[in-house]
Amino acid sequence: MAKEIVMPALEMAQEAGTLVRWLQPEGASVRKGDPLMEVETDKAVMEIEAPDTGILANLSARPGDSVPVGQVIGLLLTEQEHARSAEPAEAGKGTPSDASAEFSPKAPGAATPTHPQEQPVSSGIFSRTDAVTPRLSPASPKARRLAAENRIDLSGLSGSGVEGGVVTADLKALLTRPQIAQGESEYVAVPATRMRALISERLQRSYQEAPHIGLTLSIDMGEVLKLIQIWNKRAARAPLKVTAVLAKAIAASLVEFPRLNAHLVNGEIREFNTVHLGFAVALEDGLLVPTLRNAERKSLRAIQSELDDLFARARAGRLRLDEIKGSTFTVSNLGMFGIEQFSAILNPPEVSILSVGVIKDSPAVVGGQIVARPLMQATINADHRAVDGASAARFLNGVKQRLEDPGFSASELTEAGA
Amino acid sequence: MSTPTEGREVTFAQAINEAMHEEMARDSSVFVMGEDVAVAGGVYKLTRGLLDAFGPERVRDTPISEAAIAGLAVGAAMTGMRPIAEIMFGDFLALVMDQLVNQAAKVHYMSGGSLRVPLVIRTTMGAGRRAAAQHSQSLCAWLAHIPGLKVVLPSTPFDAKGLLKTAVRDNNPVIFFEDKMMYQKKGLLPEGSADYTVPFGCADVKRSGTDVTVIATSSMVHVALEAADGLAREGIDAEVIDPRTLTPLDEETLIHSVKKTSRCIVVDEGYQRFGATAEIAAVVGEKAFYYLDAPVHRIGAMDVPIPFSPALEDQTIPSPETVMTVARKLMGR
Repeated sequence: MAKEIVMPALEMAQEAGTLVRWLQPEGASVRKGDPLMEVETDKAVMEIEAPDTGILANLSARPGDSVPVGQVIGLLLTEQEHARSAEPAEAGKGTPSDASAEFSPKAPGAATPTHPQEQPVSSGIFSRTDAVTPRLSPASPKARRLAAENRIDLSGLSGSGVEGGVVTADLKALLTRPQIAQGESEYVAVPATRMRALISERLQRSYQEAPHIGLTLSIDMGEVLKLIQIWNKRAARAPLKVTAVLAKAIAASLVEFPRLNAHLVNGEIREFNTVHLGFAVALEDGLLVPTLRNAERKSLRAIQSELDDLFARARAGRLRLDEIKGSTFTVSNLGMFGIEQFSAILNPPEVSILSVGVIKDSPAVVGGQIVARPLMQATINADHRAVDGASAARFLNGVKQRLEDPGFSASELTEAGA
Repeated sequence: MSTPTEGREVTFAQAINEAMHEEMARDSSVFVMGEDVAVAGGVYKLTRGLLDAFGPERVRDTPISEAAIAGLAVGAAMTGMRPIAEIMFGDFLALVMDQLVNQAAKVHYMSGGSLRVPLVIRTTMGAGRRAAAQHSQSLCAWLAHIPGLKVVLPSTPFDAKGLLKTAVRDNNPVIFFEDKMMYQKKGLLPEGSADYTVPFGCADVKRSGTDVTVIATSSMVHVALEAADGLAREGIDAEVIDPRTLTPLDEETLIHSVKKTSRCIVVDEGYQRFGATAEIAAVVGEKAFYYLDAPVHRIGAMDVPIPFSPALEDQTIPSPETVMTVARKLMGR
């Protein structure tokens, strides 16, 4: 019996998934449990295993297709079924006529595509009814049939036909000169990924709902850099980076000031007794926030190795769902781009977010003297519905003190001493 | 069967007159009746010479009563005669509807096939003679709507003669519409007195083209041909098809043409609303949908009583300019 491959539901209330790619070609023999396809949900790209053993056939979803959950997108056939399906089955295609012949004979002049609104309609001969949203973009039945046969997406195209409809001549131009047809547009329409839609929806809501306050101060990172230097000299492990030390200091400060380690849900402030630190990771288009769980209980070494792993898999789109959920506080760092100071938008339902800039040798006054110090600007943004300015200031100072305190660093060094 | 490229030139009226002469000579059950058809030879002289050739028994003037003419004709046909009855103006068909629609069209069916009505009603249609609202209408769609009636719309002398002979020989009631503006239009017939007929349900390609199909009836064929000449000068190659009979309708030829050109205009001089154009356009829409590159377009008479004012009358009926305007639109020009 052929086994159906369906678009899986990977999250509660998920309606559709986007096929990223098939990991096996059509016709491949796969065993149950083999990696079969990659599926993108709102939050992650997941690798899906083959539900059974068989020969991969009838792959109806193509990379980029958004498919309703539960829809059959392929089959796993037995040997016999595969042998049968290999027989010619072109008869079912239902092509009413030879498409190439339809294209060749007559191109009625090089008509310039015009948008329907730009084309005045003469008195009464061609009446239009405005103010309806048509289900299909205007195209002649013939153009529609030829587009289907040639796998051309007509949506958004306007043509030279009646009321701006796409007609055969337009398709012919599109097929024979695709690069020119593309050049006619001044922009490229980027199809919205689920991730882009989610970022858009969440951040707009955050920016509209949460009254953001922002406080900035400079932190002298001299002690941290010294710590890292010593650590990396001694420890033959993964090199320590500033982010891990930051995480340690932030987690400790959040334990001290739990109001910032909180969610605001339906007017209720939920202060967490553990710290799940989210780190904004930039992707090619979009971002993810992998979460370092129970950060306050972890050693620097553990934090560093966990972050290395999380960041690598985030960029590869290989995070598990539980790794991008449930953060209680988010850190965003644009220092690698030379950014000195910025204000991030809150990641709801969290009530605060820390934005850190580049560590830069800057003039500072130490003991009445102007000296160059490695300064880093840190900005805390908070939802004023839950966090007052003074609370945010106290927290930020807590972070600053820990990072600047040689004792804080020393305790970590002891741990690293082994 | 199409108009020959050489032969003798006759008018549309002469062609119809010849057909009646030949059919009356061929079959003694054929007779002609109507208002002023005998002594006067018809108001448009279509029946000229018939009285002299066949005598008053077979060429009969009637009182001015269309209902009587049609009733007599239906009865005569049921009893074995083959009457050619003339209704002088197609507008007066309103007076003979019961005889045609409820009697002639139904008798064969309701008698279980034991009775036939081999009847021909010759009548006129068409505006342009400044004859006002009651003498200018093209009401062929009314009768094409009725199962049991055949509706014939010749556009050339050749077609008129061949189709009228087929009508006389047909065992069903046939309504034969002559556009009165075409009576003096000339065309070629085969040399000599060759007996030819044009079958029903057989459309004729009057002009071959590749860009847009213009399906036109009766005098609208000539409107379409003139438009096609104009369009050709603009680089639009129109194909003009004359269905020649509305019922039966040669759907195959029409669909074949539209599949070739991807565009279709239907022209008929009847009122556009619910007209013959609507029926043909619907057939094309149903059967050539996936070959259409533009909406199927109808052109009929404006939905108003035909005005007596010449300036206004000319605006209400389809013209070559109207056809050209629509063709350009369908071509995206």
